[in-house]
Amino acid sequence: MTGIFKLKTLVMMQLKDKLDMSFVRTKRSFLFKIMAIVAEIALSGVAFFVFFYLASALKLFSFSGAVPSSLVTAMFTLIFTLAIITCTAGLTNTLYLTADNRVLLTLPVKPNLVFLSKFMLYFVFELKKNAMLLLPMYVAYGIVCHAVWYFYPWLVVCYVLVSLLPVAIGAVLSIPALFISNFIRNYKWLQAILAVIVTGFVGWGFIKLIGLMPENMNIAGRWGTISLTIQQWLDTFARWVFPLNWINLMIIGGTAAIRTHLFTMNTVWGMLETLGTIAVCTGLTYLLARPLFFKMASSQFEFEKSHKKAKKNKVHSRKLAPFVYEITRNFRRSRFVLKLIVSLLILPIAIFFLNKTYAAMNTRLSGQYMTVAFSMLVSLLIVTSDNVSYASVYSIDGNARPIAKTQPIIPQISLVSRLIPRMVVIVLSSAVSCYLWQTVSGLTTVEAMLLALIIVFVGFAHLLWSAEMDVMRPQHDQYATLGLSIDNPNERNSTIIAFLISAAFAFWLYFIMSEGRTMAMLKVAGIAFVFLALRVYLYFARIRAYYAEK
Amino acid sequence: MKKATIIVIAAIYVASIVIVGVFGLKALIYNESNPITDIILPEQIEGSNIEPNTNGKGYYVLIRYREDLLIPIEYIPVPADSPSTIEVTITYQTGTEDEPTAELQHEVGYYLKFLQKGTVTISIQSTDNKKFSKQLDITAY
Repeated sequence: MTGIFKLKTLVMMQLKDKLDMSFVRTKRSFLFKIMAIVAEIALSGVAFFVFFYLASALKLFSFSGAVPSSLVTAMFTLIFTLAIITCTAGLTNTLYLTADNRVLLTLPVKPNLVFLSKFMLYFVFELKKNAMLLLPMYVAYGIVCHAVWYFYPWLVVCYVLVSLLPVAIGAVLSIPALFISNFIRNYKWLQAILAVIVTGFVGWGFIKLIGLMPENMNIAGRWGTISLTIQQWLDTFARWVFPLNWINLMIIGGTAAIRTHLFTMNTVWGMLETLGTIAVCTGLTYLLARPLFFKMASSQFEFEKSHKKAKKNKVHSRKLAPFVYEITRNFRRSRFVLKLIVSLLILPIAIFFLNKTYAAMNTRLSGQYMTVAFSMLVSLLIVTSDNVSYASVYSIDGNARPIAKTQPIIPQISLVSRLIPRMVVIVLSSAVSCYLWQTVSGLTTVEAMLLALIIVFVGFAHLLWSAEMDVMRPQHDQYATLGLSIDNPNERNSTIIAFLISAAFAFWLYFIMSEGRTMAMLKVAGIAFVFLALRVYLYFARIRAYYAEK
Repeated sequence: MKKATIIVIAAIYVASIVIVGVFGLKALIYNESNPITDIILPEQIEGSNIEPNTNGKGYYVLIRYREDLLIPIEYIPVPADSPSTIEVTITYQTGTEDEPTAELQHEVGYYLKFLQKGTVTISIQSTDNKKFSKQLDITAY
């Protein structure tokens, strides 16, 4: 009993560290929190119920109106795969890399309990996550399919077991994940190559997938064929992922079995598989991960110590030094690289998908103008909204912000150097987007180039505007005292401006397109250039004024 | 990007497709008729193969009887396109009215629930003008 009590205390301590548990302080906030959680679960259940109900009523996945178990297998596979990924990543970090391990091992508890508490922590996280997703999904499926009454208590048993599975698998996978991540972390060139490969592969994958969309997409008229293809794909998919299909059939029995007897031979196979996997993974974790956990907790500092030789400092020119500094500083942060990849990919994929959809529609002339205007609107919204974070680009340094003024270089160079990576992303993503846009629409090369120029000019102008707001009304005091979670008025204004200028340019393009498409684009590009020139002038003029004044 | 911004952009994205779909399409007269020419039955039901009857009329399948035996009735209309023609009616002939062999349930799909051992003839007929139909004898033994 003492062991269980100590384990509970350890888990609660770590939960408090990772979750906001302030609601337990008062009865009122506790009740509100419980009600909010129940409402969230209910909402999730209603969403799944509506989906399954419509699937049956509209005969989406079966001509007879049944909701096949293969559909639930596909949904379960998606949720389960994501759970394994998050558990592996989380357990790799929490077992071997977090600093609190060294503190926890000094507490008056057996070291094995500390190790066990880490799993319990992730088991609690999984229970919480599955209460929002898996549980409402299966309850909704049971209600729609008129499940037998004992399906629901059986579901609770399965919910606990199925929540344990990704934790057990993730614990085993955390061992190779640790070695892979440490290996990659030691080689910058490998990180760069991987980032390029991932960007290219993800981008290529999405473009290929979107490219599969048919030219003439008459969904209503061709629904029968589409439905049949989906049904066959679901059946094939369920056969591919047969271990997960068994687990799903263990829970629901089958399309017909759920409403009659629930338990079939599938239940036995699924249960054996689940318990077997948990047993094998737990055994492997105890034998392999536990010794590694103790080793890492006791020699974490030594393990992380780099054995690389220090490089000789290069002396750059005064003008070049801020750019080299910014690039080096930014590319050291994996978060920045990830954001860069997302920013690079999101615009081309969004525009390609949008125009592929438009291309499948039989549009009239005004419809074609609409497609150009809406594509421009979406492009500008994505680019300018991504710029919003630059309305705090200098203030985010907190107390270090005023030090920038003391640097013995022209302030304009140091300030602009912060914006260079974003400018490169805007140019690259706009160019790729407009190339893809041209491949699926009737745009000429000149028109595609003009559209790319409009996006780049407006994107740059908004970026400079946002950065300028941060120069003129710095918020570094707030960042120094409150951290990152502040309500920055500059970011708020930047967002409003982003929406206004995107709408203005897109709708203006639409309304003048009747004068001739290329001419309209040329005019808008010209105005966008003037707008950019104005923002460049104001940016530098205000920096000069600000730095001279203070 | 903040969550609210992402949601607004996503909403504009979807709305743009809807608006072009509603206001930007060419007007066309749609008068497509696509009657059902065949109804394909699955190869198996409850692990038992569906075979053609020796007299050439319809198909049969033999299934071992157990309590609460529930048989899903699945079919694929050919051609599957055009939503107006994929509707079918399913009728069945069973034992006597007082002691029926099975009952047809039509809640979230078609299911035949056997109440006792016996044979039930299922008829799947298209609702279009051609009235194409296919028969299946299901025997629970």
